[in-house]
Amino acid sequence: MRLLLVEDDVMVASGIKLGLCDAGYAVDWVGSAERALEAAQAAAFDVAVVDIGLPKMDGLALTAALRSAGHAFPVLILTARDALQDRVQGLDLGADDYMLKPFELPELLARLRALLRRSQAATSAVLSFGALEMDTAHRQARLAGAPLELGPREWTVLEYLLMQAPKPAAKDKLLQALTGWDKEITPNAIEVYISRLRGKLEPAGIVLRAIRGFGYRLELPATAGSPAHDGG
Amino acid sequence: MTAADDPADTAATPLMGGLQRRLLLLLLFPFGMLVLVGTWLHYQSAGSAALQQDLLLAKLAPMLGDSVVAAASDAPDATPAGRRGRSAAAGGETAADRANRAAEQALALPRPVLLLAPPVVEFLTQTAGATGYSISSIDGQQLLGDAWLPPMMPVTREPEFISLTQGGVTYRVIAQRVYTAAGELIVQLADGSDARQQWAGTVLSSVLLPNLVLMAVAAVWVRWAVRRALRPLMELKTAVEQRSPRDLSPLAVQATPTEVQPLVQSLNRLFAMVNAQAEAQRRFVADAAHQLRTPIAGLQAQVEAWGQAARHIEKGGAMRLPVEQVMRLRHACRRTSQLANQLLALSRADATTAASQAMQRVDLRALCEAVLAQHLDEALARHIDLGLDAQPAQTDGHEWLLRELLINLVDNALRYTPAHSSVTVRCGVKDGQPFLAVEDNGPGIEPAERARVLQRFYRVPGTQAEGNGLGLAIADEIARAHATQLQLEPASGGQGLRVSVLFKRG
Repeated sequence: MRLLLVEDDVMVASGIKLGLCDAGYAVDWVGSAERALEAAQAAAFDVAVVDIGLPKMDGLALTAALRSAGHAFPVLILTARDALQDRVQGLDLGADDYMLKPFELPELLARLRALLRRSQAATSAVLSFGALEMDTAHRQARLAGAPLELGPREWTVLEYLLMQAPKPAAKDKLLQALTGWDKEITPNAIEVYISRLRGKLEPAGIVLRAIRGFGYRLELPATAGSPAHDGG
Repeated sequence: MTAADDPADTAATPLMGGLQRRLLLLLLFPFGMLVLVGTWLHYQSAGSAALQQDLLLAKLAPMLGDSVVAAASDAPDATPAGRRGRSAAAGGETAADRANRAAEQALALPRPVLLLAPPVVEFLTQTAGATGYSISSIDGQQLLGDAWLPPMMPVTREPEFISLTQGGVTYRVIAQRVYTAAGELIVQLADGSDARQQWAGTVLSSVLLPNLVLMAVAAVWVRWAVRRALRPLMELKTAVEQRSPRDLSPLAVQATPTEVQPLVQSLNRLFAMVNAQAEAQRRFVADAAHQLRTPIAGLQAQVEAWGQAARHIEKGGAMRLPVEQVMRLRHACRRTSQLANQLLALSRADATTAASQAMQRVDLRALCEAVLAQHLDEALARHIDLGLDAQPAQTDGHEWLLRELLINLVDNALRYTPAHSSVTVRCGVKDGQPFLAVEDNGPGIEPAERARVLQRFYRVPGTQAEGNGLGLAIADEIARAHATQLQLEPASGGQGLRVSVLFKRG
């Protein structure tokens, strides 16, 4: 995964770069929006992390410029300002997510994984989570490279969980996703599919955690330090 | 006349200029209306003046007829009438003289004998040169009188009126058939005293001019009076203007006029509020700086120690760091940034800041779900079972502030609840009131401590877990910005802590 880091503060930048490299990203670091635009012309990036407070052209303007130059890769904005207006403006101008400074590295990694999965789903129709891959176009699932047999309802539940990850999926939303298959479906029925899915996913280290009163969440065994993508 | 005419004055005291202008307009407008109404009424009376003139002429015309005492055309007989007319005129050539002379010249015609009745003489002499008369036969032949009067031949016995202009004077002329001693004749009387013109002169001199002068005087006086009456207000304005932002002492209420006293009292109340707020702010900044010192001191001590050790290493060399120290440093960093975030949240939650933004409908259930999702990893790391018990509920509020409130409550619960216990985020409607609550089955808080834990930077003595003592203070501040407050009580099981916010019925 090639990542463009645009940050003018050397201390923050070197910290982020170190953390991202350790997580398996190839990081290109530039200190200004102008150089970021040059870099985006020169190489194809999978994702960009942009500080909002850049000299001259700021992060929001850079995002808008990237978008108008035709670059579609996801952009995560870093900001020390937390005014609500900035967030809304940033998302309006084409940023995909934002984080407040200071932040913890595991959280940045989780956000980047989510962004990449979303952009991947938009372009390739293949969802992936750790060792799990779901090709939604061909309705084929693979776990650690081996084909994974899923019943139609299991597929629906897993696909929904995967779309939501790393956020938890609400049980009533899962129910709604399943009503296409069964008119009357009880919350207990979901638990049946969940336990079946658990049996299939746990050998690959993927945990399907129940969240009391809410729903379920797909988890990787070590959320914090794992590489962004097995296939990346 | 208004203050606006004086640019220097306006620039110096815009407040006074505005008031002056307004008062002037308010006072002079009805005054001007009065003048206009008066003038209009006078104008209406002009019509009656003209009527009066016609009535007078109609009264005099028969008298002129009666003045013809005989049909005889004996010249000497006419002389006494002329003499009488002359003597009545008391000097100056009168219309009667001219009439007599004209009559003498018309010797060819049989002249009736004329003995002018006193009211007619009076009429003919009252405005010399502006009256005239004529006596003609019914076929229009003038027998006596002013030759310039055009012949008029009324068909009936009713008086006829015309207006005509002769030598720049507008005359009102009456013509009437009358039976006289000399048979049926036509008498004419002309009145050149233009009633309307006279009236205009009267109105101008007796109504309009004095009123206008009065208005001008009133304007000047009002300007002076307003200036004088507003002097205390101007002094108050100057006193407020000359204050420094730091001087928030109350203004003297006694020295101001009664009408302005409520304003001064309101100002003083505002000053007191701002004062209290500024004081709270100062105290908060001092507290915050003090609190920030602790984690920063930890960071600095750690890094200083490494710097010390690094002096013995050559340039470009590397040093090995114990994993434990790095982790400790990371922990101190996180604590520092958490404190910075909390301080910022506290300043934003300030009730006055929140009040400046409009409230929206907030879905509490969605809020609970979002905050729960956000804290799952932390709960997992602390081996705490974080769960949800959310019923549909909505309230009016500031969503970002309520989110901050809930984050702080959940954070607090996760921090102070021992491992392998459970924390539940709840929302719903209780007796018509929407509520948010976070419940844990941890050690709880002693009743004596409950009020104090809401104070900023207060931490329950003997607490092992790390914290800044701000979480509940922030939550309470936000609750107060929503016209409610934080409630602390034992959890439903009788053990642990339940922190809840009960919103207003909505």
